[in-house]
Amino acid sequence: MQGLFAIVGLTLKAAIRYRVVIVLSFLLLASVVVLPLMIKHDGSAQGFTQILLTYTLSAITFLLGFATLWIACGSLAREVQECQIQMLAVKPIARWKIWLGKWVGIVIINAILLGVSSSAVYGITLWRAGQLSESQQEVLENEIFVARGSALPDYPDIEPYIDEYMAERLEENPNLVDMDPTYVRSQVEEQVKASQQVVRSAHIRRWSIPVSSPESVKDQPMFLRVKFFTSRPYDTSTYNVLWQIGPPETPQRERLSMDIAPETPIEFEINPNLLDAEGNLIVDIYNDNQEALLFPLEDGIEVLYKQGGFGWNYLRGMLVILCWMGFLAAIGLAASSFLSFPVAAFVSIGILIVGFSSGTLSQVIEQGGIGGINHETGRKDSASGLDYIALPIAKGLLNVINLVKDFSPVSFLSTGRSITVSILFQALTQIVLVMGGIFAAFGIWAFYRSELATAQGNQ
Amino acid sequence: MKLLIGRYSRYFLILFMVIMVTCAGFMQRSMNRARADMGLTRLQPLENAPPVLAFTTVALGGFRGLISNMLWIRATQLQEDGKYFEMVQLADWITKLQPHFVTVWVHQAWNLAYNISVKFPDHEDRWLWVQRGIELLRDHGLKYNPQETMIYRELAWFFQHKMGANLDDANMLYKAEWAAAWDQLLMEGKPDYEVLLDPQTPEDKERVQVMRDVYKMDPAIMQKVDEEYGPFEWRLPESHAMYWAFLGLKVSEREKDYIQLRRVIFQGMQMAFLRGRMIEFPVADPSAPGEFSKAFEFGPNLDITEKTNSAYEEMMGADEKYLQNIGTAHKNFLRTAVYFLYTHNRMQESEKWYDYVREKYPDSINSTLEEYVFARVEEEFGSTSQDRLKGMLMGFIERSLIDIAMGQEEKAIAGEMLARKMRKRYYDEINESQVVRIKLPTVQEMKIELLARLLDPEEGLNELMANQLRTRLGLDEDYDPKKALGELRATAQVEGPQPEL
Repeated sequence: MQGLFAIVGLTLKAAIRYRVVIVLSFLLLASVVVLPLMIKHDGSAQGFTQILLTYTLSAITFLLGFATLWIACGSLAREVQECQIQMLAVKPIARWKIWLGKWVGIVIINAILLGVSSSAVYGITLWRAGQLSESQQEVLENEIFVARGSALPDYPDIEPYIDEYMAERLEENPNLVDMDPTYVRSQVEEQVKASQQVVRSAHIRRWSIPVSSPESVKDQPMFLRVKFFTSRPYDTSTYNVLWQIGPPETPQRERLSMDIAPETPIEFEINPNLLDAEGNLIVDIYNDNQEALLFPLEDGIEVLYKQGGFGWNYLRGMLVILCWMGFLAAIGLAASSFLSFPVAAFVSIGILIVGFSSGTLSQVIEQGGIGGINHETGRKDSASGLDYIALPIAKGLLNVINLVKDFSPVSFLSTGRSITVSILFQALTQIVLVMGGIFAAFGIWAFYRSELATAQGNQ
Repeated sequence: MKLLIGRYSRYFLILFMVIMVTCAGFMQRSMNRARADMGLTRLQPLENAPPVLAFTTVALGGFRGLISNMLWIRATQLQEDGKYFEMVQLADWITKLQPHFVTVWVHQAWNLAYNISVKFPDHEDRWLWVQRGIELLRDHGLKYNPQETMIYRELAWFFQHKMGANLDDANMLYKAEWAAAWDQLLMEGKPDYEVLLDPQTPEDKERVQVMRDVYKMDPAIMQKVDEEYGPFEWRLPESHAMYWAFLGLKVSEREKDYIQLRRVIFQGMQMAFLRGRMIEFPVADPSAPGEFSKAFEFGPNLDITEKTNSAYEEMMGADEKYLQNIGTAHKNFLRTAVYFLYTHNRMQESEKWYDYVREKYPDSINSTLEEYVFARVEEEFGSTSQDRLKGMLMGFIERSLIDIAMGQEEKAIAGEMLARKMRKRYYDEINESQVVRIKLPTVQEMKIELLARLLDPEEGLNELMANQLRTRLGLDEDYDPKKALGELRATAQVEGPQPEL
């Protein structure tokens, strides 16, 4: 381990010698201080705090990410190029230790920089919040400076219903046998789903939402987050609904009449202590409109409740960002293990661009191929030869990318969502151990195979 | 010598660079002129832009569109996810990347004021977004595009439709917030142009400064609007719609778009006629006895009948394409004016407009004035238009109060009963979900509102009639209708609405 630590120490010394740490610290702190002065917001305390957290943490992530790639590519490729690596390679130290030592060194640099800059963001955010009125501070305490857990309704498994309904349909209409069975099943599935999602005009629907730890939410404010659709696309009108929340026929049951807009999530506070004896939140909605309203099973209705404090949540969020930095360091080092500095930087950035293109990849999968879609269905009518190659590649790439991208600590922090320990462990496993590990294995393998003493181009 | 040059070469180079940049600056001016003369510049150079914006628009060149697209995609995605806190910043960047693209300003402002605002169930939150939409157009859009008709039209529309109309459930909050803000700026609710045009005291100077800096409004133009179309109640959003449409007509260069601003003006006049009078009254705070805050109600502004008519006629002359439609609207306005003036006991004016409408549109009224008004009552009996019905009810109650003053009690009771029946019928017609949005004041509330006007020594009945009214209603000499209305409202808030019949 002594050799490994020695490399870590050398990497840190090099970073300090080249003033990377100082310059980056200055840049990060400047962005943290200057950004709040420049950004425009909706005028509310919540809006300002949310945009402050989002923009400063995103700026830190971007700057650190870019610097990490640069350092990672430079530290190995330049040393090889300038023949400095030979001084290390002739020492009794395994190459994997050199590679890993550099990675650890870069991660430590990141940890220091992230620690300094995120502490500054934390301090500034809390300081600015402290300047607000008590009522606004209370709103921030409940909605943003908090780690809120989420609970969804218990929906029954719809597969048996689909099978049953499908059998009935086929019996009623034997011609359906001639149709594409996948298509028929998807139609039946939508019909079954609709029975659980739709609230017809002048009707009531009830949801029972189990909250995992009822005791912990006692006397704590809770929030209902709802999202619905109507039959009209891009609907900008509002709909009158009446909510009745809490155990039926009890005095604490809360009635809220409101006009709400479709297609995007709406969040509103509800009274505390509305759970029934079993720890369920009973929510009834009365649809007082001519139109039916559809609340999707996935995110139609959700309860948000306090699960923990902001400080630890913030720390966990920063650790997820550090995982990303570790992954970027692995990419940069892997590329620089067998490529010269400019090429390694180019390849690393190329990999990132593919990562950022996950939207395009999802679109290819959704549309069933590349280009030439039928605008009526939004899909390709028939797959071309190219699609047979492109689709599996897109699916594979997307799965791999999602292992890293499925985490959104900045978004969670700015909306007061809980980043649990299990999410942190999942991030560590997926981003660092699995994805970072793959790049590390490849990088170490390439580093072992590279001829370090070959005459370099610049000599 | 060589050593000297070598030592100071760096400074020579810096000096050389400065000279070259300065020369390039001079050259750039003449090149820009030449480009404009030869018609090589499609877009006008950006004026009034802050340094950052001027730099980005020049430095980014063709990439501006690309970055703008990316920001637009992000804004759409965030909107779908219900994350609105970045929208103001994104709209600011998008519009500033394409500052001369008018539809971008209009779209972004519309998105903030209309699409995003309604996503918030809380009306206070909605108001924030409506303000942001207005600010984007007024404070920034017009700064870079001071002659763009579409921006004036859109801004006027926000005032007239988003805030002025009752389609948004939060419309009363918008009106109240706007009225409260302008109540601070105007002395006793009305602009005193002598003071506003030449403020002397520090307080007056500050008020004018706020009008100019915050609301970007010029008291001289307000005066012109009042002279040409008013007098208006400047605490109402419709008056501000008129202001921006009027200003647009004065400064815009695109004559083909004028018609849109003229439409705003005549529609604004119509709305101001129907409910352009603001009645303020104190509301008692149930939680703090003895404390009052200001609240507002709206009534028809019959003083602008003549000018509303002129606006219609001007519009008919200018908008040949929709001549028939505007003619129909004009005819309906005149019929309503006859009816409103009659029910508000302005008999002479009612007769004047009755003659006018029959002359202008011979098929409009085929009966005597009294027969027409009576038939209109029957017709309006089933009306579910909040503004029209309220105007009519106010008219009946006013007539009833005057009948009381004149000692015609039976007639007065009949008038009031009719008003009560009509109100009840209205509530029977609208559905439960509309009650909050398009509610009507109670007859008692309307009666006290009208008493405030009728007992006003300057605007109301003459002294004899006012005293007779006080006596017959059993009111004390120090009876304050505004205070009474406030107390009535406070009671209604605590105990719920009072039964009407």
